[in-house]
Amino acid sequence: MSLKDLPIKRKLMAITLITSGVVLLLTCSAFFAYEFFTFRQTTARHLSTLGGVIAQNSTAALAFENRDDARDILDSLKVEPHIVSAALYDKNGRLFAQYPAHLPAHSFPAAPANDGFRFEAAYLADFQPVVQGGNKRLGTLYLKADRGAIYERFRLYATIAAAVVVVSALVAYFLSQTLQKQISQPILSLAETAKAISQRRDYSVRAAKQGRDEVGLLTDAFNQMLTQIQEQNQALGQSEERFRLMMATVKDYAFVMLDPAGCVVSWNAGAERIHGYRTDEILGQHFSRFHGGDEVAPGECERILAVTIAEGRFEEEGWRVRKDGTRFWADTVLTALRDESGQLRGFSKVTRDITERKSAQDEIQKLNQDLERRVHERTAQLEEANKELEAFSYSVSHDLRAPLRHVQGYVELLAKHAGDTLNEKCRRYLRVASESVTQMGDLIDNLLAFCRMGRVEVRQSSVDLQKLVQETADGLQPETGGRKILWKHGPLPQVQGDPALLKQVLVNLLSNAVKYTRGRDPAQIQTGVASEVNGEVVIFVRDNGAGFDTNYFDKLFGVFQRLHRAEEFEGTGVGLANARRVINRHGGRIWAEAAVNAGATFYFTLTKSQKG
Amino acid sequence: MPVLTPANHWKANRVRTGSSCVWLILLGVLLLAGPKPFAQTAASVPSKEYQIKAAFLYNFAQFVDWPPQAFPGGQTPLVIGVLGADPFGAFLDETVRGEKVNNRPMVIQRFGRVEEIKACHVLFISRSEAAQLEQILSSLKGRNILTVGDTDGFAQAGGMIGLVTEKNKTRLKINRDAAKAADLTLSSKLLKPAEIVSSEKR
Repeated sequence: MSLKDLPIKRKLMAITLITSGVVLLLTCSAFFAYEFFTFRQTTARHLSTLGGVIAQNSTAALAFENRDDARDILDSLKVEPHIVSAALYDKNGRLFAQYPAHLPAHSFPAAPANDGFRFEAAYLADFQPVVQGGNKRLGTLYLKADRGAIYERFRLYATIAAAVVVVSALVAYFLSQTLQKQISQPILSLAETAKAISQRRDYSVRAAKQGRDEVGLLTDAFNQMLTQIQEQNQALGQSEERFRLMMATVKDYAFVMLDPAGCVVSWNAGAERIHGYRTDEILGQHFSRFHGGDEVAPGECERILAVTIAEGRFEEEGWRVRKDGTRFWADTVLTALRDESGQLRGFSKVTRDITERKSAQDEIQKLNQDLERRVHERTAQLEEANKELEAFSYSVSHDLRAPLRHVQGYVELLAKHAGDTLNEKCRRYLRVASESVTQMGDLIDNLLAFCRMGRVEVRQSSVDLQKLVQETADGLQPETGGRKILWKHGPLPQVQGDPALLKQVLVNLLSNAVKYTRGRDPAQIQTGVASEVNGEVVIFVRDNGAGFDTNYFDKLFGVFQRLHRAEEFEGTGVGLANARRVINRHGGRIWAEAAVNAGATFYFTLTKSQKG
Repeated sequence: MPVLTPANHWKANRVRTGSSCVWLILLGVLLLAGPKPFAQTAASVPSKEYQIKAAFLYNFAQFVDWPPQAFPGGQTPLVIGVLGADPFGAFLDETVRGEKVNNRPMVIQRFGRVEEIKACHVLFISRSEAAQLEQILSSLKGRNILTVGDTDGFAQAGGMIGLVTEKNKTRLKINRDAAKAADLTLSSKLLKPAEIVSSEKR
């Protein structure tokens, strides 16, 4: 258990003990260090004093060369256990007496060194002069002390220090046990109150303030917070109550709260009405029950929750099963509920019964599909009929040409062989017959062209309409010979289309204009752009010719439909039908405006080339 | 008695060797002592025994306190006298040459008869005077002279320090009463290596 997790009482005591222990240890260390350095000096001084006494006592022994006396004096050093050896040297530096007596002579310096101390590895050596009064030196005293005294002393000090530490620790322990209560008691009581409040959730309890220190401030702040919590709880309770009432009274929506596992924790009247379960039946049940249990694909409910958790929201429409087993089409919205830290708390589930809307939608869809199918059928039938008709027309036209060539050939042969024998009247008959055959050939050709138009492929490319109009007008030169016609072209854009097919349209429209302005002097024929919307250009071809009655407008573009008699204006009645077909095949429209004898204007639309 | 520390000792030594006037005084004293004993003793070399005894004579001066009247002046020299036939020769003079005791220079004087003795502090009574010893000692009674001798029973006869040879070693016999009578104070240290004896009445 680290110091952090200790109860505050123990922590305070530990701090006190550690602090006093460290201070004591530091003090002892300082004392030891001081002793270590001063004890050398103390030892040296001690040895010096001792040496002084011995030297003084041994003056006479040296002066009168009494070795026994000198030995006696040195032997008195026995009482000082740390003196390892001692010796007296005479004034000539010869060893005179030694202590202890049994030591061999080579254990002592051969001659006295300079006076004073020297510290050897484990010993302290001292040389002192032996002098009587202020007189001549009589000899030298040598003393050798071991340093065991230091260690002995340190052992003593260590024992004392240990005793002091133990006693101090005990005193500190008992003192801190009493004194720590000053700090820990208010904190403990505050902690006790906080614990009781969090366990019982009774926010009306208040902590007792014991002083005006920081703990007192803490107690005040704590009590203030409790007041705030109480107020907030009250406000929250009221808000919750309102919300609950609202939820309970809503009947069209099922409001259901789920726990994170997907089990029901709250249920409103709407839910009861829609799902059919009473509150007491459904609480704690998993929401997969609404999906019809066995019918739902395995893992589907888990998938729904996973998506809700991942995206925060999940919405779907689908079949749900009521308690009585009947099904209804539901619109369900699931929302993940999270607390402030983002931890998932559960889900809210709002379900609406939209079976009626669903069946209405289904009905409309069914009707639409039916309609579409019928249109398709009709269109297919029409297309079929149209194709048959075209094939019929083509084969009829084609089969008509062969006998017609025979008629033509024989009329020409008759005119050649019997022409001279026939009178003028008969020759005119032959001529009319030949012309009619030629006209019928033209009719068949046009009809064939028209039929082919239904099959030919449109080769799309960019077409310079200005140039095409100019070429077409130039190509009409033989028919306009001698007439005064005022042409006015363009400007015209580049358009999308098949140049060969568009040329047919222009030939048709321009030759019509030339044809129906016969008798006008001057004839005016104008081409140009009427308007342009979204890339679709409206081209017009206007003349000041005979015009037509717009009452017959619908007949204008029909095959073999003519608004003028052949005697007045020749024609097969296929041209405009063909033109319309070409424009339609280009995705455009064609129409006309006119009045009798006031000229006509033809309009058609084309897609403008993106390049132009 | 002041304790002489090594440092003091060294300083005193330097002062002594550095002071030339002291040398001049010493030279003067030696000249005053007369050429006769100087020349007479220069040739003879004393035995080992007398070399030691000469050193002892010098050392005695360090362990004895004389009454103030023994030294009228601050620089009054300490006189070591030899009475009778001198057994030391020049050795005694060499022993004390340049030496000082309690800051006093030392002088050797030789006496033929006891009547010649005027100022003297340590007197060695030679064996040649053994016959008149009692008479010599009684004539010196009352004077502050430390009497030393090596005749048998010297101390018992009333001499202060007797030098006796035991097992080839010179030992001291001290008659404290005699010294006390002469108003001399013997250091207790001096007594330690010595044998204390007292006067025998004859």
